[in-house]
Amino acid sequence: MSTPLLEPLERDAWDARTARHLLNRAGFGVPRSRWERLTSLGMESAMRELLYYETQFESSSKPRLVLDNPSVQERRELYRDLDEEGRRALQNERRREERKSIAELKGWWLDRMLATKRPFQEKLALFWHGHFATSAQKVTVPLHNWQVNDIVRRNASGNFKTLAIEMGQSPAMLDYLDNRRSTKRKPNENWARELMELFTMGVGNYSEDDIKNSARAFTGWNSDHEKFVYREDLHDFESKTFMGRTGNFDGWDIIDIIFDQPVTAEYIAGELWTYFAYAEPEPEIVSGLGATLRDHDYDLKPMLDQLFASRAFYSDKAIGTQIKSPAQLIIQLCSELGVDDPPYALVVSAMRQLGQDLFNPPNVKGWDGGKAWINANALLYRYNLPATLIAPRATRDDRMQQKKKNAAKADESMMAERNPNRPAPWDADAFFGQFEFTTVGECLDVLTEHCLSVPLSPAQRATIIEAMDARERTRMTPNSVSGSRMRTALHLLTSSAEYQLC
Amino acid sequence: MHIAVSRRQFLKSSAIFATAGMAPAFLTRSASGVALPINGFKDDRVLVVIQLSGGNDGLNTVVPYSNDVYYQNRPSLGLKEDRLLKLNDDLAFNDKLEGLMRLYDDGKLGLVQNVGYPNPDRSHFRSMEIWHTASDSDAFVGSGWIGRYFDNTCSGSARPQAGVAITNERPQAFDGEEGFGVVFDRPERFGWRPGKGGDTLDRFTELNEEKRTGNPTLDFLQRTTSNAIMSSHEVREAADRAGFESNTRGRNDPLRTVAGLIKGDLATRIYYVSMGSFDTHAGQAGKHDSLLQQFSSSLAEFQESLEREGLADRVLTMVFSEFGRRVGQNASGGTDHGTAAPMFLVGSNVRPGLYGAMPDLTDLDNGDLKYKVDFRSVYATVLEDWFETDSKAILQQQFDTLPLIG
Repeated sequence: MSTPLLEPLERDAWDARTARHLLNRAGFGVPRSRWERLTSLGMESAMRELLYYETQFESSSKPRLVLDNPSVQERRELYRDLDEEGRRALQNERRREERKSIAELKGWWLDRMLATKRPFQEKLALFWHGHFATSAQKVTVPLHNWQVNDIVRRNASGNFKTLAIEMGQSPAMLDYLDNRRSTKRKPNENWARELMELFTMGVGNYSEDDIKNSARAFTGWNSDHEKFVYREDLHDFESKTFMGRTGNFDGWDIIDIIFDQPVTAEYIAGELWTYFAYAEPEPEIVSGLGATLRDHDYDLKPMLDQLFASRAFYSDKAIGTQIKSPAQLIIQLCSELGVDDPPYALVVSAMRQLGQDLFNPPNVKGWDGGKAWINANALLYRYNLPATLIAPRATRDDRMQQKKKNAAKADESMMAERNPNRPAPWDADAFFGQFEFTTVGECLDVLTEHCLSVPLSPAQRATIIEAMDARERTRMTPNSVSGSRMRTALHLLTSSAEYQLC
Repeated sequence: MHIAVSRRQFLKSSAIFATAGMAPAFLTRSASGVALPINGFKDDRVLVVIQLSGGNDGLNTVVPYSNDVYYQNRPSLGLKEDRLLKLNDDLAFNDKLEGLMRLYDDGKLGLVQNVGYPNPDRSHFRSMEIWHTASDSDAFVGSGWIGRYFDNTCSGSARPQAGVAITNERPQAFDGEEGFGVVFDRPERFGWRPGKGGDTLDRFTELNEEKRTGNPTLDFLQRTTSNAIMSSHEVREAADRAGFESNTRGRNDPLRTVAGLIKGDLATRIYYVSMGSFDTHAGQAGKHDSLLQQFSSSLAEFQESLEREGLADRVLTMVFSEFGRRVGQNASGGTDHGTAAPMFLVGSNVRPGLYGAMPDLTDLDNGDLKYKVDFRSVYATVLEDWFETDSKAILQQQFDTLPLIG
């Protein structure tokens, strides 16, 4: 019954390579100091520290700007004394504020991914965001978008069934998949279908009749301006037949029946394995993890423990074979290069250009991931991004100087508005200073080890050495690897196909 | 003749040619004036898609001037007699569309009226998505219609630049399995940016050559990188051949860039440009006029330059907007999001004239026009009659075509 693929990794196989792999996949890569520590801690302690993140302090900060969503009555009040023009102006203002608020949410989340002491929680939250996809393009209310973000974070490694219910009852999902428009006279099948097809069981494990009947059962699942409400007046109280059972089912009953199906545990286990390890897992892995999940009534932790301890997770099929998602690429880049405070406007725009606009997955399937991240534009954008991120930026002193100059010419408040806390420049000395090397070759080797999960070929290594040497033709003397040579190496390493893998 | 060249050889040789001021022979085909197929396609036909972003007010573009209801609904925005270029007894162009009128008079313009789709969505994003994915309005489709066309039709020799968008962001229409379609606002900006030291383009290219490492994902990434590098190289070569690096005016008008790249013989099947924003909620009068003026003169100039270069037979241009605007003007002297709107097809192969029925201003759906022609019929027409391909495979439904081309 147990498969060798899910046997725990031998204790002596825990080393820098496997530790890095765990940190990359269960998080977004971490600063060198931390992975060195986790390597020395040993596998069990390292896993405990990473996976049981509740022990790690996390500030309960919220995004600065989550607009309240006025109720219908409040809205009526607001609009009552306005003429058409006034209403339009107010509506436009509202729309602008909403967009600003969503943009703030995006930046806030990216910041949290980078700064958090609980990278695994954010990595899981990102998984669930793609899994239970809702999009701010349809769900324009910022509060509703914030709520689902909060749900996937709170329940990230909690109970899958609880998470499914909370998501299904979120105003965002009720809007996105139209259940709040579903009535006993005209049941809408959107939520009922996707709940089974994408969220819990996978296609082929239910019939069209099951969709129709469960859609009727979910009538009445509705929302007001800020929370779930059960509307009995919209609910269909007639008998339904679902997955071979007949009764006067409601939404809760349907979810109970879905979570009684063994395939539900296996489906989500396979999705999590694909996200964390590799696509198309062996059937033994799916059934093994599924059994663990079922044995624990859909509590995710024991299954995740098993996943991250397994030999298959540390196999050659897994290490260095995953194409980094845009979030992975950007957050790992920042954390590996020590860019603690990247310009968030750039980072948010990079996420969009690279195809992972947070709070706006392309459709209800979420992000396909893997090769779907890659096309000519996206790839060139990826190769250009590292240099942009570490490009010299104006220091605070420069800014003060500039501000003084400008203040004489222009309105100072306008300048402040345009440049709110521009980030500090990248600290090259601090970055390169953490390594020990004396020659160009050693320099390249430590940087390679730092940046890449897959090795360079000797020819590639020679190319980069040649590039480093090209600028200063003289033979290197010990300790004289110049800044420009180090930057050249770093630039080429982060502009490599290998760098796209983790 | 296409000579079989490996990517590696190509990259090396083209680098050498570039420094010697010459291009490889297979990149300079049109100098002979013989039409050769575009790499990866069976012929040399080009489609240019112009997107009027933001929702163009169709009723002030093509004006139903014989209908009093139009003037009743638009007391200040309705275009009077002196602002009209008449097409017939009922319809007239906004007088800012002089360029379009010229194309119409020369028999190079087809006007499709009242184009839309069932259950219209009035959100910019969603409606744009529907036009890009060619989906029904209640379906969410991951791929774009152009991406699906490439996936269905390209042979192995097509490169990513089979589709080129002169925009800031990749149009969703390009999304597909094989990753065709590249995006840049200026040709010289498309590519990897070398550093100041030994981190040169050549070394970057060498570093990322496909090596068949045995790691299929890495091989895929290296292959895609080589293709991207080649694309960016070929885009620059085409721009150089067209000689518009010195043409600073080209920067403001994406159609100039397109004309240059067609002239420079880029192996591109579909060009995509976006103009606007046409989202004229308030104070529409002057704004909309100048947008139309810009669009029309730019398109007319584009067509003239193609004719000058003897390229007009190869190129078809299609113009759309994600929706039209409401029939009645609003209290801010503007118009709000609406539904159906006209589309234009321009080219020497277009059967000129008016297609589809005039908008019916009395039979409205909640203040909005009811569409008469599904936009996917126009796509189907372009796919069937211009690209000679099975439109159903791409649009995933059968749509009637219009006799617009031939």
